[in-house]
Amino acid sequence: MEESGIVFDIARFSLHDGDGIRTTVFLKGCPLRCLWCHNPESQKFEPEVYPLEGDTGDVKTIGSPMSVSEVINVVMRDLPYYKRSGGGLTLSGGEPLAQPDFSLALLREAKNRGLHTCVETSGYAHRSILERISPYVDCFLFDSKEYNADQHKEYTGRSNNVILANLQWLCEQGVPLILRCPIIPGLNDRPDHFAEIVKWVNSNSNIIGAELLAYHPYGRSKGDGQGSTFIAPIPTEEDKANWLSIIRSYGCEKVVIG
Amino acid sequence: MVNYPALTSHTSEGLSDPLIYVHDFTNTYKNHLLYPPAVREAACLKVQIPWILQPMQKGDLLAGRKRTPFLGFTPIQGFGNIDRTGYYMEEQSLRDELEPYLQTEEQKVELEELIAYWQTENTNSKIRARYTEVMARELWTDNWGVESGVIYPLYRMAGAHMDMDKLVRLGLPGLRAEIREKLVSSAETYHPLYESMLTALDMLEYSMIYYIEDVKQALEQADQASDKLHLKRMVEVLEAIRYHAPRHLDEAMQLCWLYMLLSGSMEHGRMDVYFGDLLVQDLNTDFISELEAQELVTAYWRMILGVLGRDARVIVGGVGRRNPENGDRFTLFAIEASRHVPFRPQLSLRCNKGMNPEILAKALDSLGEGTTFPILYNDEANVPAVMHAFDVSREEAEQYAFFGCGEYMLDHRSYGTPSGVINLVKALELTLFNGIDPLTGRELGLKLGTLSDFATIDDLWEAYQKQLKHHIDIIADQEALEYKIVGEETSLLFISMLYDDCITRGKAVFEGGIRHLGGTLETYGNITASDSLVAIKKVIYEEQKITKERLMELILTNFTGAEGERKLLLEAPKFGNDDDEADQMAVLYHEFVCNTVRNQRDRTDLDSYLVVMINNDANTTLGRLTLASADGRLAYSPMSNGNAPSPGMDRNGITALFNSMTKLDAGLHAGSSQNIKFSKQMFNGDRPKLEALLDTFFELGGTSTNISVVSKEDLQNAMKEPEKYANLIVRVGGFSAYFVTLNHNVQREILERTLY
Repeated sequence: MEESGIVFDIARFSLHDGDGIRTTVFLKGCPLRCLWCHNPESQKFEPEVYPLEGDTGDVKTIGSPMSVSEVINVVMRDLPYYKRSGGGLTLSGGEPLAQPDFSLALLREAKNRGLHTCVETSGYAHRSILERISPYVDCFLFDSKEYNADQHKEYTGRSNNVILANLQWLCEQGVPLILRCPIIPGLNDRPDHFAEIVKWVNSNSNIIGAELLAYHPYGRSKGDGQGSTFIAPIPTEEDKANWLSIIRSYGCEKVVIG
Repeated sequence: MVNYPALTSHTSEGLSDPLIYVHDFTNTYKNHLLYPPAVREAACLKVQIPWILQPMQKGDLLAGRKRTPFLGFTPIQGFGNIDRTGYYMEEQSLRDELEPYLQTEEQKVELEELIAYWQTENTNSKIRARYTEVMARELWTDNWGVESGVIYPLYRMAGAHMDMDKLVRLGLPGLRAEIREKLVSSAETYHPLYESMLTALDMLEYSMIYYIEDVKQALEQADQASDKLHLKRMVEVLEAIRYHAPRHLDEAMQLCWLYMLLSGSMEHGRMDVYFGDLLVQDLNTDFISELEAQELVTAYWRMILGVLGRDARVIVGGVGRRNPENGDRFTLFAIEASRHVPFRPQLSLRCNKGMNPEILAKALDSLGEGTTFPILYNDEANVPAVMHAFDVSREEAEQYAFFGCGEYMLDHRSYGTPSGVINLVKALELTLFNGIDPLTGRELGLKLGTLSDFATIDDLWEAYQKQLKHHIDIIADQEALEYKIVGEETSLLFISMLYDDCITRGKAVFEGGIRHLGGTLETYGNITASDSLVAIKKVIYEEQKITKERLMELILTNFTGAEGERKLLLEAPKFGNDDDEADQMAVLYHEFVCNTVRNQRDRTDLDSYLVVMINNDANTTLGRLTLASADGRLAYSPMSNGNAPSPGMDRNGITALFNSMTKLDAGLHAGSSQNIKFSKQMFNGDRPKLEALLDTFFELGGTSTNISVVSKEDLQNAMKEPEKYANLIVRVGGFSAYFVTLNHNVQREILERTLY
């Protein structure tokens, strides 16, 4: 039987999830519950029904089961664009490693078709899953949310022990990766957090760089059903410049605003 | 010696009186009725040209302005929504203009006689008078966009692309010599065409003399030293081009501009080819500085903006240029000029593999600023498409040009005037309602039953095809007839002189002089029609969620109180999403319409007759005469634009849109406009990826892109507070405009287009 999984969106002409022009496949379901989650409708593993905007009474179903070939057929439609731009397929979520067999099958098929692959992950997964998947991944987009274990648990609901160990393992294996660092004012826009990012980037040659992703509140309007009322100040251009200057002062050029 | 009309009379009170002009023009026409058309035309031009030339305005670096007479001769002149060709009269405006000059009863009677004469003697009416019975029935009105119909005639010889390169190389004396040579060596003792051509060239020289006097007058009044310098040079230039082929860029520009004015064409063709050499020569010899060169090109742009209509096009770049390096040098100045002069010319950049990357980068910079120019054309796709569509060699196809809204033709070798319009969605209405226009109740087209009578989608499709073919046959016959009568009535002397083969053959363009006599048909609502077929197939025939009778009711009632049923139709697959079901129907439909039009060359005298999905704002204009359609579109709202999806129906990202668009074979038609709206963020945020996107689109066979770079907020705010957004420019279809000057419906349509 062909593998299948729950997909909540496929975004073509995706420009911000790795090199070149890409198609990003969002898999539904995530073990973390980040306070600032931008995609709350991606958290649950099952398809869900949401009311549409306005009081029309209309609803829309988020998430649908798709087979590997169904997904790959959509992805392959933009092959000429990947070839010209150095792009390809990105798996995102949700947490793609939380649907490991489906992710593996998708990545394997993508590599069979000669596609460049990226996986955007929180890193929260059993090591064996990472071991199985990493041979089919050209570049990880590895979330770097919080280096302090207690604070990580407070912000995301889980400890970061497994995550950091996985990051360490990927570095030891020399798998190319980009750190993706959501910066949430009041939570992790601290100099010591920036210092940790720099430490990781500077001491591991497989880490291509890091992208600081400034907090935005768009996740809240989607109606996450989680009762999240989290609000942080929206970073200004000045704030972002400030983050960068702190990072530059630690001696790191490979960090950019994503 | 040449016998010029007396220059002095031009500024005397006599000629400022329009009564004298209209009587002179009419008498001249009548006195030459029995002469060959070339002679009559030359005589009329001798009256008309002194009347239309207008003094230069302060700041003009090139001399040459004109007014549009309400009685006169033209290849194409628009008044309101109706174009005129040949000899024409715009009655109401003429009456309004002459009213203050009428002093005596006798004058009033004379004027009524004159107007009555032109009511039947104008070329438009002569064409209509020759319609067959079936043509008169289906082409029941000329008032397109106001009256409801499927096909409409347009009376115009649009898009003349003259050989400006030849003009620049030969100059006035050279062109005169060539024609004299033909005249002398001609076996016939009397050759009216050549003689009339020489008269037309005399009038070109007349315009030079007129402006020498005019500029000298301005010089007397000038007080700034810099103005004096410019004006002195203008006099030198005008004097030089009377006696020499242009030796400098400003001379070439002045010559071309005057010729263009007198010809009535607005199409500048491959300008980098004919200005490139002199530009580079003048720069290399320090005759002009870079700054002065830019001033000159920008000045040319300002004259086009000030004097010519919105269709005026300039083409630069591409394969098949004799001087690509010099051309590229000119192209950079041209793009820079378009950053400073809005709307027109419609600067169009032909792109090809191995083109100078500096040019593409500059073009993208300009587009990224929101100028909408240059429009990008893809030679790698267009040259093979033109070879197939027009059935010509690669060498000829490399000289493709496009005019107005984007109709392809062969530079100074073919004519392809779009003299017909078809509303494809209206034709579908007739098919669903048994040959009755459901908007007006008028009987039109074929009676093949109603939707209820069609047992399968194939039956409906077959009936629709018959209905379309019926109308296309008629509008093709109309085009051929229009050429024939324009050929009988006119010689279009200025155009004929710079069209290949006319001088050699001794025949005017439409008298057998032209190498490729083509034509085009403007089709509107292509995708609205194909999406409607998809929705009918799926929702009515396959899923049977709505009955045939109910659909007819929904169309007539504009979905009133039936939002749920409308939603079903809206949710049916739509073109523009890389969706196989919708795209296959679009391809089937595209091929049927394009081939039915293209096959008209076997039925008519036309060398080619091709679809253009070029679009200006007629998708909106004709949409207002079109009821609700089965794709879920509401009555009177805009139909799809060019071969783009219906507004807002493309939702799968721009690569999906491009994939859908490139499925439609470009080798079957003569141009389609592909309007794409980018946000500033998307267009300018990551240039290498944007370049990869456009490059891949072209690689896949995309023919052109009309790019607007705007933000949705800007468009919304501009609708609310137009005074604050006076400078916001958008690409409508085949033209660019200030957003706030567009009518509300067109604004809405642009707003509803998907923003990438």
